[in-house]
Amino acid sequence: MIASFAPRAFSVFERNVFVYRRQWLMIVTGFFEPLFFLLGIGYGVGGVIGTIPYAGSDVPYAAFVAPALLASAAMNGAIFDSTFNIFYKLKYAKVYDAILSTPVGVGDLAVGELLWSNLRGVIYATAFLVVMLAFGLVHSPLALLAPLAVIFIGFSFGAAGFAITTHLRSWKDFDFLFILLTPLFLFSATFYPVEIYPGALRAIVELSPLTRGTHLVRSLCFGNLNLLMLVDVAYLSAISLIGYRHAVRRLGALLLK
Amino acid sequence: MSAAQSAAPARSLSRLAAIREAAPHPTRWRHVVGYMLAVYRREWQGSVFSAFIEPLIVLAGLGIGLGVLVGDKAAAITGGVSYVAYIAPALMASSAMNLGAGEAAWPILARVAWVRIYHAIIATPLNAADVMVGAIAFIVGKVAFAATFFAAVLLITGITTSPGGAVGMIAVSILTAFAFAAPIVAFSVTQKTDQGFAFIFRLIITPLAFFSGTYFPIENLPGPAQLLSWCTPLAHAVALSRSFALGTPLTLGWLHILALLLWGLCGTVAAIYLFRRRMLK
Amino acid sequence: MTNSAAEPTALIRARGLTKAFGARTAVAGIDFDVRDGEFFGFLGPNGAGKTTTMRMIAGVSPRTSGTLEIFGEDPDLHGSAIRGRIGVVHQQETLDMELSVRENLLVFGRFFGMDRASIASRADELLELFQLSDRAKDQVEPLSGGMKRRLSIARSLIATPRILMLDEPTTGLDPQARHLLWDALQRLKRGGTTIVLTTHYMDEAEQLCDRLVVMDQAKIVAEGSPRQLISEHASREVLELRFPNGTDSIDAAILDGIGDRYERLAERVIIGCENGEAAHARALAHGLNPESWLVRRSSLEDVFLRLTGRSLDE
Repeated sequence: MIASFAPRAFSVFERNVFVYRRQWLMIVTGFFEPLFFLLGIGYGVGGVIGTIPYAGSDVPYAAFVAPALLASAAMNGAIFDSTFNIFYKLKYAKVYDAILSTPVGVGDLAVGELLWSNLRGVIYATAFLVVMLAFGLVHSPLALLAPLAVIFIGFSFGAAGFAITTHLRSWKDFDFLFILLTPLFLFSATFYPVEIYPGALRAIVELSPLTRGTHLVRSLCFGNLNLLMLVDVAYLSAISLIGYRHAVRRLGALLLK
Repeated sequence: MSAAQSAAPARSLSRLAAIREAAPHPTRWRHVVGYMLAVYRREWQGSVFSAFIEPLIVLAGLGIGLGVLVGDKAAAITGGVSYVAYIAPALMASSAMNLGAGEAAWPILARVAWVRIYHAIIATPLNAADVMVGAIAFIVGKVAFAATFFAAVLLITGITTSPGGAVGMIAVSILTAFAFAAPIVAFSVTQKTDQGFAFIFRLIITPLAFFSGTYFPIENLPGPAQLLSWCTPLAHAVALSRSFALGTPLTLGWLHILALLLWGLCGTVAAIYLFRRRMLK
Repeated sequence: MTNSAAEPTALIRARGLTKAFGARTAVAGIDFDVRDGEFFGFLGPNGAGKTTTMRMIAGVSPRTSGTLEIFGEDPDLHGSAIRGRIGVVHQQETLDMELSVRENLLVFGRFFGMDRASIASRADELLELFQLSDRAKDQVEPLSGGMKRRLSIARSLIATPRILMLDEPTTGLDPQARHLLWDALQRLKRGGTTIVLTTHYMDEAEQLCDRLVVMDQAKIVAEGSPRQLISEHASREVLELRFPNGTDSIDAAILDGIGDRYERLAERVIIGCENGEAAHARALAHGLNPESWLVRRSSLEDVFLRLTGRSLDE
């Protein structure tokens, strides 16, 4: 499918493979963040909390938090790549100017970059799933589908991040990006069930893409299949599509003047 | 023979002169602070979030939200106060760490390696030591400013009730910033790219925020981890900050202050030495 | 549109080519042909519209109006295919700083859809050709300006393009690096590559170009070979007279009588003439007393200054 509408996307992807063969440290260290959250909050604070109710039964707090950390690891992998790294290539290093002087077009470029940022998300998610298995935090074989489910998370945050990045003017603007990301991470049903939010606030939290991604992954990890998961997938796909189309339009406006 | 004898005091005199030449001047470092303030005045909007807003969001997200889950069980670790009141002073210290460390990393590397403004500064009467002292002083000042804001919010919201305790917490944040900024500045001035920061932040700063008694007592950690935790500055900062906020007595409080000062002073000396080595080759 | 039989070998053909950015017109209806195998130059001051024209040819800037054909096709419709046969060297370095010297070539080859084996052998061949073999594994950042430019050109040649486009290729290089680069470009041309370059260096245009157009304020103001342009728009020789106390007091009638034409600057008078020595003698005979003088052959610089207006004093 990709080969037909973005035939040269893989060559853009390959460029990133070359770059990160030297910067593997960046990728490896990124894996530790969710692990520290699991140990510090899931087990540390979880030791005080004990168990919490989920889908009709009491589950250990660490088991409740872990799927959310897996989902946010995928989000972080995708979003850091599609914001910082893409901004550097777009505005600073002029990498895209060089790429667009070849047969590669803006569509190829966007798809190639999104594939790459998504791969990072999938790598983090897979590694974290292994940790969860080792810690006995997985309650259903369906959890093995989690690394596939995070593709929806990776594409939606990657595409949205890419689209936002095309509007950033300088490195200073990144601080504004974090105004969005930190609350997104903390308030998206990551560390406590959405049920604890009062009415209107809960409606907003339910609309957060990470809430949807977390719901998807958590349902899989507990083997709790439900129809809302289809909403999750549809919602994340819609964000991916809108983000992608906006990013391509903006890239064209910025680079093909 | 006699010539050698008379040369000896001269040599030790010149060694003294060399030390004086390399040491920071009592006041010149203020010009470096002035330069950094001038830059900051143009760029401050970009750091408002990370300096002022983000710590409050973390407090709301983890303090209030987790507080609901912890509920009555909080008393077991907090000694009676709410979970939010328990972690607020700790978060204040850990955001002083985050801000101090962040300011000591990319902005310093940028000036040493990318913008190379420090090359221009040491071509003036200022020396390498002045630049380092000025840079660290600026970071500490910036953290002091952010900490004052955070403490004010805690007082207004009633999370912290004692104004005297709030002043004490600000002082702890200043020491914390010093303890982290100075060693990280020393690291930054040796770097060519920002790749090394991935190590510092993801493998040191992030775990410290969790395992320094911030969200749960250090005593809940396994034995060796407790020891490791006390070897780092943040555990001391959290202990001090919480003691000020809750008005609980602290045994050996001076040792905690000493630990933070030691980290900061050793870091400053290392920063001066390493920066000088980089600039003068 | 089909090519007329009279010009079957025009690789690039522009008629009424226009580019406007909002209210500002960067290129205002220009016509030109670039023939197969020639070395074609766009000469002009900064802001004349050279780079915009290059971007339109390279298929990364849609034109506002007019026709443009590259290999007989419209770049707005077949951009990707056309770019596959063009090598581009940007004015600002666009090398990939996150990759090594050789990786820059390998990655670029993939953008052109080449297979890995042929990229690898082509890359080594180009590194050899541009004397970069011993730096193949190095990072790009520490390379000298001349080396970076050679690498940029090597990279643009990875897919063996029919047309090589260079935007101010020697700006910022030291004289030695410039001459090395000129030699490399001449070699490429002998190998059959059509080369299009922009420059504001007259000597570069004179050295390299078979044919060139002079652009000024979005328009083409002259076209021809360097020799043609000099003979059409300049005299054979130039006499320069220097007056440190200013030239305002010199009588225009006297200057008229010395050569074919003259140009009065703040402290110099530049006189176009057939014979510089004889003109100098005439100047002295009219009572002029310059502090110093020199005679030189006319260059493209004189053509350029004459056509684009003498704005160097600004």
